Amino acid sequence: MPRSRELTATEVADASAVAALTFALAGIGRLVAAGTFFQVLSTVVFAVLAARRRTRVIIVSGWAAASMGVLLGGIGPVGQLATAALFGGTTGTALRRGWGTFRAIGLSLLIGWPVVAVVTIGALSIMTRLRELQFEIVANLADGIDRFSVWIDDVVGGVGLDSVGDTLVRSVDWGITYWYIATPIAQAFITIGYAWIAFRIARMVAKRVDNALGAPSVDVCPTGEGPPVPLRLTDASVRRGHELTDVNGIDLHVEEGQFWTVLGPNGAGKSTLLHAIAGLDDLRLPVGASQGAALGHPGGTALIGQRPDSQVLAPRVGDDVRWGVEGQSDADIAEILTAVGLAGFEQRETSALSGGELQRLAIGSALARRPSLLLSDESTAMLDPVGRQQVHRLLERLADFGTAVVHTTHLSDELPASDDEILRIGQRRTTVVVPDNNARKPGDTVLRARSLDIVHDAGSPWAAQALHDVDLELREGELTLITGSNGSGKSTLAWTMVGLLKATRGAVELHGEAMTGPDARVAIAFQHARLQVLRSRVLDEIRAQADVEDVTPVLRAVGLDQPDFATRRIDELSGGEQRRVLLAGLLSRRPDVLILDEPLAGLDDEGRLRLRVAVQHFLARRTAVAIVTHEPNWADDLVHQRVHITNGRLSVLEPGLER
Amino acid sequence: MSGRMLRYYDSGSPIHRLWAGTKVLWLPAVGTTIAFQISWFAIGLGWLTALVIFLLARLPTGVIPRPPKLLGVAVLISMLLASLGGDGPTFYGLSLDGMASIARFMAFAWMMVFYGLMMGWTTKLDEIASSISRLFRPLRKIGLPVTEMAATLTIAVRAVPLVADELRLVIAARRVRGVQPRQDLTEQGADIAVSLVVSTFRRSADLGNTLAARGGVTDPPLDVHRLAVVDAAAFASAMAIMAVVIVFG
Repeated sequence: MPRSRELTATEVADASAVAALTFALAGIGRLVAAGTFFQVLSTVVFAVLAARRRTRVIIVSGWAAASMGVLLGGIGPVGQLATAALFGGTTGTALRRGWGTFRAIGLSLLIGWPVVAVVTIGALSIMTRLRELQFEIVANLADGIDRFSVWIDDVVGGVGLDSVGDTLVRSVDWGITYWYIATPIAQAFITIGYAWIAFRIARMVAKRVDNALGAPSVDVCPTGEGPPVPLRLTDASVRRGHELTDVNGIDLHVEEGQFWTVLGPNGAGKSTLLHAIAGLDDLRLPVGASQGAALGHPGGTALIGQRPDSQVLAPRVGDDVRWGVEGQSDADIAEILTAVGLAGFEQRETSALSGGELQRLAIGSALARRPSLLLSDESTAMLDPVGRQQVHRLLERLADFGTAVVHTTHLSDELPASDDEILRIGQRRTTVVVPDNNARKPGDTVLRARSLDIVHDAGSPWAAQALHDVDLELREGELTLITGSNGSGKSTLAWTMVGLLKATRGAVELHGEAMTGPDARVAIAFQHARLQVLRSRVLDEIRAQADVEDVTPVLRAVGLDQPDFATRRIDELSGGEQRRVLLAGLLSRRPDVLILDEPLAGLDDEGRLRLRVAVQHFLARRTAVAIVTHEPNWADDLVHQRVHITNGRLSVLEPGLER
Repeated sequence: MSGRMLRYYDSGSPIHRLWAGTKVLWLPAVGTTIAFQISWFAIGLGWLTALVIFLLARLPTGVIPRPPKLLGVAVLISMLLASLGGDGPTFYGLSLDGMASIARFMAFAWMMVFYGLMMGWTTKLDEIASSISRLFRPLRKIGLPVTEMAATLTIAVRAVPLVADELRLVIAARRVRGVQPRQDLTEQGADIAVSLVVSTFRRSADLGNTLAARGGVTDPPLDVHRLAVVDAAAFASAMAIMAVVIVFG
């Protein structure tokens, strides 16, 4: 594919995300005073970017990171981030060309080192007093070490340490006298060490990242001027480049203002179909299906995806609607925001919006282009019931704006009343192993939260009380469902119960003893499993949780029973499968308490069934399980206790079923 | 949970009303001048100015974070070593000159950190980003790709809270792991990096689709903040401080 000089949308997005990550790493490095570790980590991140993208992307990304670095305290962090980008760039370029260690270090010496040396010598020649002060301190340090070594030598008795200190002082003296030679030489040695470590780590990381993500995605392919509606697909197949994909036999006829629902389980190819209609990821429909997607153009196609926080680009609500559409007045913006139920939100920060609000904002920003076709790729899947309903209703109303909608979902309750505009794709087998031990004798209390108060940022002006006087007991072999809306404090409670947050008042007791920090007997599975699963293969991941020989039983328990599954790579698995590998590891670890944070998000019916079975296995092993969710009616028959959190206060809905 | 760094505290003071670009220019200019002289007088003036700004910004003292414990230990050890060497009068075998020079350097370094913190309390990150984009805009004439730079910076600012959350999760996940990892530090670093990078690139693939669905790379909405009297006063103060520091050393 020919490349234009300007950055494309995916390249800009990669550059931005990497800049944000390295900036956050630099911030944490400053906070915990472990700068070197985080500096190397940032360099590795830039290196992976450089291995996957061209040099121009690294330069823009490094510039963005360094610009934000101003906020971390001036020249220092700006310089650190720029250095990380520089050496990440050289290291990644070596990776991209498949070079070995020597050539990689050579490239860093050839390109990175001169830049650093010239900048340093330049700065030190201008800032004479700063230079003298720094050298004086270094000389004093060397002197101090020398005197200390002499003293040690006296005490221990002639081990020759004094000569070491002496050599140090003399070499430092030489270095300070001839600083314009000594500094670059020292930097050359530092460059070699730094480049070597960065290359070693980056090579491991880049390989695993390539396995996980495949080749970097390409951009929109030219799909004509539009309009995208009418769209006529008859027994159609989707191609990626010239290859056929698994998505075929599609019959979909979209006319102006229609609302279509595409129903299918996870992995059935719904996203592939929508991306092909949009012309993304080099996916194509048969020629002549429509007059072209005209993605993002006025009157063309709009696309809303699954993860709410990725659908919005600007830090402010009003700016997001304004982005890329010329000539919108404030009144136009206000009108659009009112239409999507966000009246008066112009100046709000997008990072403070809930999932449902973000998706409605994304729809609003799409409406600013008056699209003829809006593709909604599982846009309701990650939302709580209220948000889901609001977004779904809004999508149904878009016909009033003359916009046709194709909405994909795995949730059969989102089907419209009439059968006409439904496309069903994908079918999968469902076999499960349910544990036989379902005896329900009353369990002993394992974990107990006692009059728990949590105040975030106590003592600062941002102090906010997240939990008020919470009492909760989790009992052996019993399931507790913790519900509540966004920001109610349910995640705070989960983090406190596993010892990740310290109680401001009250305590969390495990078997009657107050917990002081994370404990191996209390486990948590976060919603985003990829961040928690650290090893590259299934077997290693499970063995990292607990020392077990045979991992087949636990894998079968979570429904991952294909032969050779244990040797598969984590990164080949879907998000739902990764979550279940994590559960398999925890199952073999046999914790006394397991907390699942939003385990249902994004799961289709089969995924939910499998999760349910996994939970049953934990209960059968007498683990106390607590599920944090916004779906109050899940697995009714398994739940012993239901609690609800509103504004940090906990109320018990149904205490101990069948007790 | 998110700490006191980079956290906006709105008191509506004149310092908050300054254009972010004014602060972005003010700090390196004044900081570099003080670093040029690095005398007790210059550093004292810098701290005094910082105090005046802190009061003008009407910030409560609770915004100041507690320094990490490791930092205190590191400072103590380097102070001790640096004052074991050095000349001049001594105090129980410790050189006062040696202590004074390292103290002078640290007073400067912490001053810069404090200015950075104040920038965070009084300025929103997205305002800094849009003001930097605006400062760079004239460079379009010399062929800089200003559009893609501004778009990248704006989306990066948007992505910071998202990746910071993921970073927090990765750290938490390591803390709650049952069996302690028995690998070396490089492998641990690689494990963390893989988790972070994979989820960051998945995120950026989504953001890339969103950007493509908005018609590709275009200029983000422009910074329309108007310069006011406070900005003129800030520029004048920078000039005055720099002049005093250069003349009186």
